[in-house]
Amino acid sequence: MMGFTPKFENSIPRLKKGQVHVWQMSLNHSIKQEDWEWLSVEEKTKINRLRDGVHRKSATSMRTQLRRLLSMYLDKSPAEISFKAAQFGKPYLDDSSLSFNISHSGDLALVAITLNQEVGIDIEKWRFLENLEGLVKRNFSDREQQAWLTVEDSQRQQTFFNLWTCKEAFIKATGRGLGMGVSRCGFSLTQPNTLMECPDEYGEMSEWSCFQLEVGEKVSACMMLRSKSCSPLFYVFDPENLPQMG
Amino acid sequence: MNEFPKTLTEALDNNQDTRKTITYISGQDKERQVSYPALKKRALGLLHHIQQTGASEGDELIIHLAENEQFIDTFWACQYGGIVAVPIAIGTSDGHRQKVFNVFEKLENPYIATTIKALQRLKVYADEYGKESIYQKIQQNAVMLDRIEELSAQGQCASIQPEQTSFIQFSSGSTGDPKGVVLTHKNLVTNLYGIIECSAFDERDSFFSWMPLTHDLGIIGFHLTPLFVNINQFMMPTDLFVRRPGLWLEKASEKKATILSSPNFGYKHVLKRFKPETQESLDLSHVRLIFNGAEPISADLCREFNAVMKPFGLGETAMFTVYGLAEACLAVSFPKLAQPLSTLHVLRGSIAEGQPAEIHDHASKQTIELVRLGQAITGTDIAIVDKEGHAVADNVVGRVYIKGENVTKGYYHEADLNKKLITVDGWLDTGDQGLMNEGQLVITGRTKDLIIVNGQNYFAPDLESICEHVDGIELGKVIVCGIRNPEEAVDELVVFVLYRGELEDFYQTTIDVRRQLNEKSGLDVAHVLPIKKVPKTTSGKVQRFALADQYMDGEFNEIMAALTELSETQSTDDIAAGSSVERALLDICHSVVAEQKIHLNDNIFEMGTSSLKLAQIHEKIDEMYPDVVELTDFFDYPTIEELAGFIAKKMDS
Repeated sequence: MMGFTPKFENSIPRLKKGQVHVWQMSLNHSIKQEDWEWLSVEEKTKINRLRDGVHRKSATSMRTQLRRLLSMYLDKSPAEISFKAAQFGKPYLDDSSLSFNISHSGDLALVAITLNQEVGIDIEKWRFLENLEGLVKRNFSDREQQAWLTVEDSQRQQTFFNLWTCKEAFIKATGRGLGMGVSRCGFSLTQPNTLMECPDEYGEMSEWSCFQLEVGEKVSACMMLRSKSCSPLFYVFDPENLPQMG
Repeated sequence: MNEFPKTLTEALDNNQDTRKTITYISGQDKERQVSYPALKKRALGLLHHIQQTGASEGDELIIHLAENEQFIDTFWACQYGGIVAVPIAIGTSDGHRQKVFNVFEKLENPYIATTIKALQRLKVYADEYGKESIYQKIQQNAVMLDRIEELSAQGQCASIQPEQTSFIQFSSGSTGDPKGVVLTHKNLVTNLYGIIECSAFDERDSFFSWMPLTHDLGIIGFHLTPLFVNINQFMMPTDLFVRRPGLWLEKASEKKATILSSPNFGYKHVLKRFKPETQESLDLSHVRLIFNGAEPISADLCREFNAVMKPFGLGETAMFTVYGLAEACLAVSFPKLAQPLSTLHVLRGSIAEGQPAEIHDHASKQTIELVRLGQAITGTDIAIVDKEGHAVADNVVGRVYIKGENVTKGYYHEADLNKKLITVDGWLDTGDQGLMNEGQLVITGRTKDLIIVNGQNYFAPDLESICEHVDGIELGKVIVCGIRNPEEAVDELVVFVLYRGELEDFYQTTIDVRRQLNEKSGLDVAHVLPIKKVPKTTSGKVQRFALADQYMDGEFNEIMAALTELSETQSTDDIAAGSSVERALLDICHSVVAEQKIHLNDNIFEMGTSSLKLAQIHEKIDEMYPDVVELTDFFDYPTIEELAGFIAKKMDS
């Protein structure tokens, strides 16, 4: 099945229950000094720990664009938005029923925004992983490991990242994170957007929707939502040219 | 010894007893035995696959393999096919990968035996450094050992002549311009004869080593030697020894091995982790000789090791302090058998080329203790000469020259260099400085820019050019020295940087230099120190030893104390601090999460690290400390400090 590709839109429909808006951001946008002032002390501290200028710039770009984006939905100024962290560290918005989840890899970031609770998103640029087989052994379910054996060498990197983004999107959606045990959820290796094994505490497989997102060559991305049905809308975010909200 | 073989293949052909074996030990209860006749069969089977890729007699095959068994099989496939074996260590740093590319380019008709994983690493290196076109050739000429399952078809054997090249040891020179020592069957057979005769090996002996097979002490000393005597040999991987040094002696005891070996640093490594109270069943009474060579030898450390191991039956005369180098195949001088450690005290200031060393009866602050390394073994001659090449008298410091049928005819494709290093009458300059005392060789220093750490040779200008990539360090303004730390009995790396500003501002440079050298060469730096002037000779050559001497004389003690204080107050980065486990974990985290500064007490989950990166960190920890840490332990011990404490506790129990 083909994944979703993002569009530029000037006007964005109002978000409804069971719907997700997914936004793709480029982290190469230049940052203004006043934007930096939007950030909280925690955000600034984290950014300052980055070792070199390039990474600091893209992290700043991500946090300021996230605030700008959320401000369109929340009717607040970007600086007024306040984040909190749930029990296992998943960030959420204080004083709002809006849920969001963010992920980045290199100079690309994805944000999922929804009125439902359990949403997770993950993006990974393909890269060489020297301990690939070890990662598979430890983090894939038995069933996935069986299927992995039939994957050809030339397909392994792609298959791994497709599957991993599904798993990470799932553990992020549940809010439990790595503590859940990544090998406890399972996906199809041939149809990467199909949940095959779901830990009991997170309901039935049919309660989950999983979407493969097309963001470019040699990049895997996945969004998961706890909802039997879901129709995601996928947009490109341009901070210089903000769309109208419906 | 009658009818000593004339080639390596003749030696293996002679070994027809299937009860004589190589045992590859890979863990406490994991080992695999291969008899000498079975080794030959495996080698011929592998030769078939190598020849299928197009390699034939006279071509070169780089052996780039981490596993001992694969290495040995491939080495022998080369010998039977007349293919020149070129071992190159897998290693962990970019320097190792660089070496593979540079050697591959240098060879005439190169092939490579490796694994999928190692080839992938080469690809990553090639992508990063723009060497894609060489990588293409490497890939085309690669034999993947982990792809080969079937060894039934046999390859074509060549008719091997003694003058033919057996293998090339690329252990000399810089990683940028590696120098290959070419060794013929005749060179090797000559040296093996001398080694066997002067150590009186016979059928009662068995060998056990953890030395890497890419090192001459590993491949020649502890594989070819026992094979030539047709006796049992045991080997374990070097990284297993590094992780579990105790296993070396435990296995030697279990196997009743009589011949062991380790460079100086290995004894230190064993003693650091050795707990006599948990070693009741250790029995070292079978050990006849422990070879101690490949790097400068500390007499104190020998005595300490002997004292600690004495209750376990290790004999006073087992420690065998020897001298050798790759250019001689392996061995140059051995002491007489069954002699206790023999040393002399030399006045530090009196060690200068062309002058007699002042020898004292007792140790004092002004003297250093040097170890006697015996006399030339059969087949080899030693001469101590002055600048003009004339032999000097006993106790006079000079250059160590060697000659013999075991000595290489020269470095691979280095005609000009060979003319400089080998005299017309066949003497080779070892680059070592030494003297003869009571008929025994004593090494006093080095004349080459060579630094020896953990038994590995590093070329000082190489390390300096790595440092020059650090911000604020200019070309020619950095000097790297290997300096002996007498208390720790190891050679330490000290980096001197030309710097005239405030010490506070120098602190960041010390961190950057440490990290740079660690990432690029895998080496730990003891000190990074500012100097106001680079000492040079009148001809403009940097005088590394002048700095080393100033350091030894304590001229940098104040600066070192001030820098330590700075590191405590400014502790923005803990790379220099902490236990060895903490440092190892920091290195792992930095290698996976390269963009972050990570401190010992940072919560791993609060760094904003993705699950995949955490899983990668976990994989790497598991590689280093197998089965110690579960991924979920991160939640209970979320900082590097806590996790390191947890690991240390589990490893001790």
